[in-house]
Amino acid sequence: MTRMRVKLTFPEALIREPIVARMVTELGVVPNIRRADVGEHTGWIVCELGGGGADVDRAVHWLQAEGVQVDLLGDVVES
Amino acid sequence: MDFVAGLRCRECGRGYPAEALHVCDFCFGPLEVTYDYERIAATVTRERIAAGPRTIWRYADLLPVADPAPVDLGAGFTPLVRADRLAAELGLGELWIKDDTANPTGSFKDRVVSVALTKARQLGFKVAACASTGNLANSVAAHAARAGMESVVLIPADLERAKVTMTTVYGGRVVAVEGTYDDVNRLCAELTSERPSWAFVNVNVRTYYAEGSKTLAFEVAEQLGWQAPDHVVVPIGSGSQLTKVAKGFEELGRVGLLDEVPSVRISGAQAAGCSPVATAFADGVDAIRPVKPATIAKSLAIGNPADGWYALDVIRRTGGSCAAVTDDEVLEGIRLLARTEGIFAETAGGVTIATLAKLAAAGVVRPDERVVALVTGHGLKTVEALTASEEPTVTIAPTLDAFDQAFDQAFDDSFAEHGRAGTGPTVATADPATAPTRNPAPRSAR
Repeated sequence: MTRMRVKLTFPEALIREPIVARMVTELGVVPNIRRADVGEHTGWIVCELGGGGADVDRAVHWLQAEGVQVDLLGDVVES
Repeated sequence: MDFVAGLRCRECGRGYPAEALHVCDFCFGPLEVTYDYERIAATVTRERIAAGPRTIWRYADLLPVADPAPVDLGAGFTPLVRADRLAAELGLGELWIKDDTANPTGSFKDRVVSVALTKARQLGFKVAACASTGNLANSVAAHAARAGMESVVLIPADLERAKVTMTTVYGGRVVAVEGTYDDVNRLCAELTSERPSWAFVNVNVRTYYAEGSKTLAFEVAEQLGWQAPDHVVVPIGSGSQLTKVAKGFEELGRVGLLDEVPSVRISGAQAAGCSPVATAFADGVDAIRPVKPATIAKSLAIGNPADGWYALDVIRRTGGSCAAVTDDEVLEGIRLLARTEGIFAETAGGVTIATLAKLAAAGVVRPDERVVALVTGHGLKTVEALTASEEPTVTIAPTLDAFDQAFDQAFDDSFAEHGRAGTGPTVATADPATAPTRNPAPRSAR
């Protein structure tokens, strides 16, 4: 089981799309949502993505291809 | 002993013990160190601080770890320089530069790393680790060497040679990672969860690490005679430093070290090629939209700043501002500070000075304010940013004639008064009897 803590940011065009639901059904990756703020023009979800083996990486690439911005939580590499 | 009350989630307020925790288990919000301010107020005095070492550790009562022998290279208590010549150029009144180029490894990171490794050692960590593109790597490797701790520093494989040397010289394990910045970031995120026995200074001990930046505020206030300035300009990378400078001034007021409750405006400085906070400020929105950094100010090039929103909140709450400057303006900022005050800053310092200039021109930073600008790293760190543009005034043959010719042709008019008959100190005329026999010959004879 791989887990990755991310912030998903949705542009306006994707606010009404069931992106997260599709990620679960089509890719088998489950989001454990901890915080979220969805408005009329933009929305974000802080969550942990969980899935087997390479599924999480595949889900991240899929989300990005759909137009969702995927950022790891926190600064890891600093100057 | 320290005065830490515990850790608290900045988002949901949930409390935690002072252990190696950095995110809230419940909401993934960042954790903040909280203190028993009543006990601190009953203990700390200006005299007690003045009797302490001339390092950040004189403020140990307000830091998250107490240790009679901290991991210390002498970070902090850097000069606060009155900058009248720069102030005159910018149309400002009382301006001060907090010169953090004077830290042991040349940047403010020594403040945070000294605190992080002291706490890490207390928590039982044997290995100090970080992923860095420069200043943090230098400081972690140096402090780990000083403490006799093992260190593992991950750097991007294409990092400039000089920056690699400044880290490898301290003898730790330096791992060059092949890949893009995102690849390095991803690998390091995985490592931090795979190696919980390592202290990743800006990840699993970040809560303590970040507290080291408060010492900037403590020092500024002490160096101003225990008064807070009116306005501070702080560069923004992750945004952590800006929020901690604000916290530092607030704490000084809270424990009674200042005569008045401080009211400090805090403004942020970013490079235009990586300005998510300045953009959100300008747009009047709360959402920090991550960006792909493209700037010479690499020490500020964090496209998705962890503390960006909190920095924005401080800026708005204190009546400050935030602006971004182009790379050309950054270089001009470096030159301006060097030319007027003799301080050579890295590109982040150029960002601060150029932003200060911009905010002063806009009337946001005002001439009636006592202003402090934080210059957080030494110019030798990023000398490559300037080497292509900096040339000697003139290159000459080793003769007086060549020099005189250069003086006439290459020195600008403002130097003319310093010619052969120029003004200067009065020199007593030598007694002819004792004067050297080899008198200067007339120019035509040479």
